[in-house]
Amino acid sequence: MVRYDDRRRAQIAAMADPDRLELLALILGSDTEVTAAGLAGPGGDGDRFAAHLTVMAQVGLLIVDGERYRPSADALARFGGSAVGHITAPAAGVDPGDHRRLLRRIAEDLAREYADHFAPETIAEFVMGSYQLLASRATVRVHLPALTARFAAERLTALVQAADADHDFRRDVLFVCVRNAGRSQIAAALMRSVAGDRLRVRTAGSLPAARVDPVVRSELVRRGVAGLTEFPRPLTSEVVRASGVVVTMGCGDACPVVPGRRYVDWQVADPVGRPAGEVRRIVEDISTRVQGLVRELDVS
Amino acid sequence: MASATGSESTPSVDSAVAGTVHSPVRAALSRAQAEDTATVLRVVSDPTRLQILSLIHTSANQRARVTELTVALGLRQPTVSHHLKVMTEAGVVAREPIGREVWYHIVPTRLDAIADLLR
Repeated sequence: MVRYDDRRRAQIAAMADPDRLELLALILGSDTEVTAAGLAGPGGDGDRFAAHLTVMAQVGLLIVDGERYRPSADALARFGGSAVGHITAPAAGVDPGDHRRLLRRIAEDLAREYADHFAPETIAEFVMGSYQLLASRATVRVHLPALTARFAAERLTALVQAADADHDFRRDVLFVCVRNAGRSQIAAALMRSVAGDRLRVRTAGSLPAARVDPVVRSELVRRGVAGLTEFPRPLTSEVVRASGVVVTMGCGDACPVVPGRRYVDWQVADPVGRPAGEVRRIVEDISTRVQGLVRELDVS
Repeated sequence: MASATGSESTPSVDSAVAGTVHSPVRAALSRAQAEDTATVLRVVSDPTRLQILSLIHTSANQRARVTELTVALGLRQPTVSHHLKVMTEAGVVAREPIGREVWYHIVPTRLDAIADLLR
C-alpha cells in the first residue's frame, strides 16, 4: 500500500482549487521562474496571486527564491499530469489523414510484440493517443509516424515495467525539464555514453518543444554523444512510474515522494537560445553531475 | 493516452482568461478542466479515502471489495461504505456487481490523475 502522509493530503487539499490548478499549469508551462506580479500582468491583482503562491509553497509544491517561484518535484509528479500532461492532446484531436494506414501498421507490429501484456484494441488506442500527443505540438508532420512508433513502444515498455513487481527500478533514470529540448536531452545523452547498457535512460518535458535545440544538438554532436534521433517527449505518467530515479532540472527540488523512488533536482541554467560558449559550460556542469550520479547508482 | 478531461471541453485560452485567473501567459488548462479536477481533489483530500484508493490501485486487477478494504484499514464497514459512496457519486470510483459481490475500481478516465497523487 502506498504510504499516506500529511504532506500529500495537504498538497491535494491545497490544489482542490481551480485558480491554483490554473496557476500551476501556467507555472509548469513557463520557461523561467515566475513572480506574482509577472503572473498578474500589468494592472493585475498581484496580491491575490501572491496569496495562492504562498499556500502552494507552504505545502511544498513551489520553491521560493526571493520573489520568484518554481515548481517542486512533488508538483510535477503529483499534479503535472492534471495541470499539463493530461491535456497535451488537443480536445478536438489531430486528424491523422494519410498517416492512418501507417499508424494501423505500427499498432499491428506492437500488438504482436506486446501480445502477452495488452489486447490489440488497447494498443491501437495507445498508438493513436501517442500520435495525438506528438502531433499537437509538431511543426513537421513527415516524421510523425516514425516518432509515434518509438514513443508508443517506449511507453508500452514503461507500462509493463511499472506493473512488474520484480522490476529493478534502481536502473531506470528519467530526466525531466520543461521543454525536453535542452537540459534533459544533454543529461540523457551524457548518461547513455557514460553508463551504456547499465542504466535505462529516459527523457520527458512537461511542455515539450517541437525539436531539440539546434545549438544543444551541435554541442552534443561535437562531443560525439548525440543520439541521432532524439526528440522531445511529453511527460506521461507511466514513464515516471517506471523510473527509480527522477531528475528534474529547473523545475523541482528533492522531495522524498515514494520509498524506493528518488526525486533529485539539479539547479542547471537553461541552454536553449544561449550562445555556443555558454551552452558548452552548461554541458560541462551537467556532465559533472551525470558522472556523479552514475558512480552513485553503480555502487547501489 | 485518453485524457481525463480532454473530451469534455475545448481547452480555450479565452475561457481561461475569462475566469478569475488573468495572465499574459497562455493558459494550459481551461477553466472547466480546472474546476473538474478541483472537485475530484476535494473529494480525495481525505486520509481514509486516499488509503482506500491506494488499496484499490495496488490490488490484483486493481479492484477491491468492501470486506477487504474494511480488514486492511481496520475500520468499520459502514465507514468504508460511506467513503466509497462519496467517491462513487463524485465519479472517482465505480461499483461493479459481479455475481453476489460488488467490486470497486477507480474510474478509468481518473486513473492517471489518481495514480499521480498516490505517487
